Amino acid sequence: MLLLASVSVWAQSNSQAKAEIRGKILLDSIWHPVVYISHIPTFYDMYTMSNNMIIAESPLDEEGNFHFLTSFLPEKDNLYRLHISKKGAPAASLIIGGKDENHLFFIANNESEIFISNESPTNPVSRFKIEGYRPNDDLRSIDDIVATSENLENPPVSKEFVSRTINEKLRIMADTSSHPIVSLYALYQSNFETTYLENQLFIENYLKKWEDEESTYFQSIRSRFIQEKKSNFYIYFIIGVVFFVMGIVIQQYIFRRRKRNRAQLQTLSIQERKIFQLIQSGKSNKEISEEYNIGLSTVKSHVSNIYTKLNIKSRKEAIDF
Amino acid sequence: MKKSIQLLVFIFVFVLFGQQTIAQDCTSVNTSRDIELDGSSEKEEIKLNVDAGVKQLHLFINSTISTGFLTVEIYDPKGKKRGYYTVESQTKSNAKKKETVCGQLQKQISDPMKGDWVVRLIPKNVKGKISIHSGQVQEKS
Repeated sequence: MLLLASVSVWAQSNSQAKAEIRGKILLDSIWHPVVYISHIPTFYDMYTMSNNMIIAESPLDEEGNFHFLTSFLPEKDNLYRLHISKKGAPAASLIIGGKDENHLFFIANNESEIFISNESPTNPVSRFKIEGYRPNDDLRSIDDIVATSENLENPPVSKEFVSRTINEKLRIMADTSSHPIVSLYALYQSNFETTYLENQLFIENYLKKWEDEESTYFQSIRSRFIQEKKSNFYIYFIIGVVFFVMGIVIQQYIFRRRKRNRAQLQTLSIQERKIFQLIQSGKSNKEISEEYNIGLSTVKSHVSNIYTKLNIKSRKEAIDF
Repeated sequence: MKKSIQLLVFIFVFVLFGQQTIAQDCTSVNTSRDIELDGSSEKEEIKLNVDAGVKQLHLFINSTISTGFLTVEIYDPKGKKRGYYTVESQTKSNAKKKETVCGQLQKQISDPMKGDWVVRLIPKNVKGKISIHSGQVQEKS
């Protein structure tokens, strides 16, 4: 038993000693021979650089080898950025795009054994390998898919079409990947914020599927949607209030108009009121004269008085009154 | 020997002719702008007008800051974000220990959309320098 226990302790300590991020990076003389690792708390911080984000640094030996122990990393997977800086530039330097791009991203935890290497000293991170931890292969696959849409040299219509196809592919990856960071990264790269309305149901179901995931990556994405929903709520609330106020104003206007009309009707004589009712029912002056057995000129005189008293100018206005 | 000389003359003439042809077919318009911020928090937008027929748009943005928080964003004429970065220095302006943070973004866009491309600078108490260089390669008609 004692022997077994000591073997187990030895095996554990041996495996912990092995857990490290190692690598071999070939650099030409413009680069400072040090690699830095930064913790990336959310996808929105992938292109943020500050000294506070750098959590470790390792010098490169003459052959370009470096290593970091991973025991200080969190137990759960997180996203990290490895970068180098040019001689004379500050350690906290971020170069995005071009042949001097100086960083790469990887996923690791406190037990990860990762080996990072590159092929060319002149383009240090354009062609690199990350071996030893499967989620990093999937991360690279996502980057490769995104890169194909950015490097297209076709007319804009075709670009848009290809971009939609690629976003669809990324959403499928997000849906099928079992690794939370990889899955969310695929969604993040699929322009999900700009195409939210088109894919609302998918995104809502996706977030529901990962509702138990409490990492900062998921929290940051969720907070975006909460903000959006909040802002939508305020917009709907304001629209509701505007319509409510408009309703009250219109009701008041109609009520006052009816009251005024009723008061004006009171100014008409009994005969004029009878004629006014016939006008409202669409009868002509001749029909009114025949109905009440009065002369046409008398009817015209009554109609003229009615127009003056009610402040109207035509039969149509009389019907609408 | 004679053949070698003939070959060299041919290559020389070919290269010279080729260069002239390329020079006749394309024109390049480059602009450059340097901005120095001294504790500024004012947002700024730099518009780059891209005409129809521009085959390549090159953007190079470089910023070095000693204090504050600076975000640089690039938007295409449709308003879609096409690139961004943020640099942040925690050092206070009166601190004895100085640190600098550097951010650089290079972008090459083929067949760029016609219209105003926008470089948006969002600083917060930034002391530092930003330089923006752009180049447009247009085919001569």
